Amino acid sequence: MDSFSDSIDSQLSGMKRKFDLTGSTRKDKPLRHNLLSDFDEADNTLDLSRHIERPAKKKPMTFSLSPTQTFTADSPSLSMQLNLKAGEIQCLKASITKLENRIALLQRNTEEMSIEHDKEIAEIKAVKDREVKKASDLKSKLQYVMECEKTARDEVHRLEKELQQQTIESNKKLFIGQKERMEANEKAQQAKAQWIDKEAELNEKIISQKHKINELQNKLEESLAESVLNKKSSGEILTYKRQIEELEESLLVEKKKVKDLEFRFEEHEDNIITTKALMADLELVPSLKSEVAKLRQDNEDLRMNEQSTLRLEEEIFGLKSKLGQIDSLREAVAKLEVENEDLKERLVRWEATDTSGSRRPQSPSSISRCNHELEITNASLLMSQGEMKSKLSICERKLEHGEAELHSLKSALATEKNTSSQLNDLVKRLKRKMLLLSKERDAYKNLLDSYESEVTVQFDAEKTSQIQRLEALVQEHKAMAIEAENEIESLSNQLAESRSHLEQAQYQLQNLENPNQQSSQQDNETITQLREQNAVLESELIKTQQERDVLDAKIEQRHLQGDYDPTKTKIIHFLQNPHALAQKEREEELEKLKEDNEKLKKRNQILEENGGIVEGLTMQVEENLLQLSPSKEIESLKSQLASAEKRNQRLKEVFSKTSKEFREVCYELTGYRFDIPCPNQYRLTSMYAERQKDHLLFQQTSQGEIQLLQTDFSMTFQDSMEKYLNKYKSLPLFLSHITMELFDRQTMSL
Amino acid sequence: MLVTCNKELQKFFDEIICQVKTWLMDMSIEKLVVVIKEVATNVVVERWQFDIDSDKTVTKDTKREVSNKQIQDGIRSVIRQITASVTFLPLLEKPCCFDILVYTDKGLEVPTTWGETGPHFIYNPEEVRLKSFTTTIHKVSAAVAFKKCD
Repeated sequence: MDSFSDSIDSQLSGMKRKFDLTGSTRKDKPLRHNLLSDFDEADNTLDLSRHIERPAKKKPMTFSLSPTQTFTADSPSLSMQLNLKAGEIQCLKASITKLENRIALLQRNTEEMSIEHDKEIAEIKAVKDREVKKASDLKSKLQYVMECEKTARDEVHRLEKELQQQTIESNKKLFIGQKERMEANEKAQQAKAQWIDKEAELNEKIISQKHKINELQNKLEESLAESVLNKKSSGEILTYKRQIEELEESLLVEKKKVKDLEFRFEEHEDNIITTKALMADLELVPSLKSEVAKLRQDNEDLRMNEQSTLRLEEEIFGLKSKLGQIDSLREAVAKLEVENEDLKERLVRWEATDTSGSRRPQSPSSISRCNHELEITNASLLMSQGEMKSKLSICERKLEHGEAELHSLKSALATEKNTSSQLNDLVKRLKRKMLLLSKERDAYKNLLDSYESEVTVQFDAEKTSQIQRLEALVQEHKAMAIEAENEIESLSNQLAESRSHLEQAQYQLQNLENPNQQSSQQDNETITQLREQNAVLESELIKTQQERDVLDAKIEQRHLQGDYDPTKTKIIHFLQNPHALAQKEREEELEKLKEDNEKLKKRNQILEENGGIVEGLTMQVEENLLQLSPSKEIESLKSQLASAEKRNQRLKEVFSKTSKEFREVCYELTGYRFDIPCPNQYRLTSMYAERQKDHLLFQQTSQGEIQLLQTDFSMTFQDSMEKYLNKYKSLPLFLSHITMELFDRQTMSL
Repeated sequence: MLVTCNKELQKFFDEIICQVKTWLMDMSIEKLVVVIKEVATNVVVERWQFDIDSDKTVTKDTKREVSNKQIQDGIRSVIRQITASVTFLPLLEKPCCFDILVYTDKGLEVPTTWGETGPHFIYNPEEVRLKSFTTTIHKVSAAVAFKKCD
């Protein structure tokens, strides 16, 4: 390992030296580190620029000091010089900008260099780490191999031992086998001897058996003879049995006969009884004959009687009917008698009433006569009545006529009255006019008088008096006018009232005439309202229809544009369709063009830098591209790093999750929570622990053994420790014992 | 009528037609759309839509008599209209390529060579309905939507 690290160090130092060398000999290798050389050149050019700049700066100062002195002397040369200077300045500025660009470029290059160096260092470090890792791996492998070897040797030893043991065992077995064989031979000999003995015994037995057989055969013969005898006797018995059976059959027949005879006997006895009874009956026959004769006679008598009774009954029926007739006749006679009596009484009354009359009708004829007379008078009276009635009707007609006339007269009277009132009014008016005229006449008379007495009478007085009179007239006229106006007012009021009355009456009349019109009016109103509503609704309907049409059109348009219901349908296409292929091709082309562009740009740059003359241009371009790539490489590495980190994170998450699950399952199954407070130490807390602090602590040694460390809790289980750990050397037993104990304690406490 | 002799294109059409045939038999196809897009900008310029109205009451046992000529006449008239539509369709100035979209039932299981995509709407389109034809089981009505000329 040390040697390995030394070698890495030496490598590193070698690389450093190389780097230093490249740094020191960069001028010797313009191809590789031309940038640095460029940088030196740039320094030189910078110095040059400074040299150039100094006079450029100084010159304007001199110019600024003497503008007025030289301007007048030789202006054209000065302007020339100025132009030249300006040109120079421009030139210098351009060179400055160029140089600045170059500086920027160089700075970039240096940055890139540094990045590269960093990267190299990082790579070297990574290589070193890898090597270290490899070394450690190798070490571990070596250890493992050593261990393996050790175990192999142990095993070989063990196997050799086993082999020896096996050989010993096999030898032992062989010996035992030989011994067994010997024993078996002995046993065989013994068995043979026994066999012979047994043979002899068996022979004896066979002889005795033969004797026995002979005896048994004798016995059999005897028994056969006996059996013959027995057979004979059995045949006799059979014959007897048959006889007995026959006898029994005959007995049965006899018994049947006896029974038949008994039946006959009984029948015979019954017959005897019946014959006796019949004999007694025969003795009774003559007396019966005589009785029969008697009875025949009686029968005839009875028939006769019957006929006579029938006849009698008929007679009785006839008599009864006659009796009914007679009864009805009697009743009629009684009625007639009563009527007779009644009539007689009437007659008597008649006679009694007639006694009061002057003319005494002596007989019904006289009454009839009287009656006739009375009828005649009645007829005459009727005649007179008819005449009277006709007269009455005539009178009534006359009365009606009179009444009509009266009415007409009354109306005429009313008209007359009206005319008279009009005339009265006229009279009144005329009277008033007359009054006025009379007054005027008086006034004129006064005037005439005054004219007559013109000479004597003063005019003034006359005038004043006339004026007074005239004024009085005027006053009267005014009063009359007022009265007339009042009348007119009252009349107009009446007229208005009557008109209002009339209107009311007309209104009432109308109301009375058409009470139904109101309801019809209401109906009309509702109808009109409904019509309006209808119209509104129709307009709305039209509007909505139009909207619907518009929407339909829109839907149609959308449909044509390819709209669809994403809940029901989906759109699919063939993935390798021409468009996708064309696009892919295009992308590829674009990528290629970009690359080409990059290359050409580089080429251009190199050509510019080296003034158009470069050997192995394409090589340089490729190299440059490779050099440029670090940024890309870094990016790719970064992305790889990020992905690796992400993966790590994910693995950690998964691991933590699974470990948590595992621990939970362990807790559920074993009843212990496993914690790792520090490496190689394990803390176990029981599910049934009474306190949080009660826990067991275990430590794993480097040999892989697990030892129980002392805690307060473990001290309480000294006995069980003694028993399970020292005696049985089993941790699981100990742990389960503790679990049981704690559980018991809990249940006890419960 | 122009017929392609490009082998790849023919292969593509064979596959498409074969698949579409099975879907037509299952009545699970709603639309078949041929979209023409510009390769560079991915802008949809034309959209030929064939609505397929399938009679779902039809089962394997139903038989309907329609003369082959009648159907072919219908198809011919549609094709004639399509070829004539050159007169009103705008010119395609940039390189374009086409794609075939199939509108199917949501629950349909699709082979792995097929993938879901969008409806490829045209921005500011103009639509023209074309003729339709029917086999009494499938009714195909064609329409074309294209980008309005600016």
